[in-house]
Amino acid sequence: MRKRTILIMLIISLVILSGCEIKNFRENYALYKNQEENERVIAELEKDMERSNNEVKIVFDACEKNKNSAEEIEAEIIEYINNNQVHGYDINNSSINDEAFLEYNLIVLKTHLMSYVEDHINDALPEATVSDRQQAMEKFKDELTEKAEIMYFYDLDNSRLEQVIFYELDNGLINMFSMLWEHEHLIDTDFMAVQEFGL
Amino acid sequence: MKKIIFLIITISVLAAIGAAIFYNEVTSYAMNYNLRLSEIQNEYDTRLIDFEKDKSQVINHLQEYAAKGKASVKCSINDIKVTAKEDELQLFKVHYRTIDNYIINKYIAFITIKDGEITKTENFKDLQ
Repeated sequence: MRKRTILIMLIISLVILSGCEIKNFRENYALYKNQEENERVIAELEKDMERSNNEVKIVFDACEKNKNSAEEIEAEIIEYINNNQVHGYDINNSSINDEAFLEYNLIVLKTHLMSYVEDHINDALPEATVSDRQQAMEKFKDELTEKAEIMYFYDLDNSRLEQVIFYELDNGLINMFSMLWEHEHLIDTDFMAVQEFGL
Repeated sequence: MKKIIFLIITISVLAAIGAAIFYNEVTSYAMNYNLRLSEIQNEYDTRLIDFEKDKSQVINHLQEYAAKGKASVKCSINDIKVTAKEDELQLFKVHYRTIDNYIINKYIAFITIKDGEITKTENFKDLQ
């Protein structure tokens, strides 16, 4: 009796297993039967993969090229802070074109940074001698350029790059000056004063 | 009689061998096909796909974050950009605004994401 039960159970197991295997085989056979169609699908996917990878490469290459141009401006700004003390620019608004406007914004950023350095030193050392003031100015310029954080954000939909310069002021406010690059050209600038905020 | 039995056994064995060969061919073709498909999938440059995935996660997170505790707050995303991946970390910069009882506030959030998980959120209010 026990032997018979074991035998029946074995047969049932075999039937279930072969049922599963048949299901597997049928799926595999469906693939095997459509070899021509499968090859066509694979060829299409390979072509699509190549195209897609190429597109991704173009987007990231464009961002990298923009970054090279952005870094040149960045070096210019740092150099300006470290080498200049004179500021105050006059601009004739009636004849301003886009390029001049962007250039103007950059000058504003540079002069803002410089005047911030000067104001800070004037406030901190109102009675100091010229040499002390000069020394303090150099130190603060170094601090500011060290403290300023520069980041690059990709706008992948448009292959653009946003270069953002952050610098924190003594009152806790943070200034963000951003420059938007497209095809290695500066196309827009923006300035924002922000404050850390927890919701 | 013996001859017939022998013939039947021979035919059965040959049929079994043939079936095994066919089974093997079908199975190995299917395995090979699936392998090729997964290889193609692996060769896709996933940078943009990853970015889109992370982007939607960042947006969802921010909308929940902005509306935290207040059902009336509506949050809209104005601009979202991302840094290049460094040390497996990516930083998203999101300009967004909230509207609460007709009061509009503008914010910038910096959201750090690592392996698809948000690890840090910094939030700033636009003072202009």
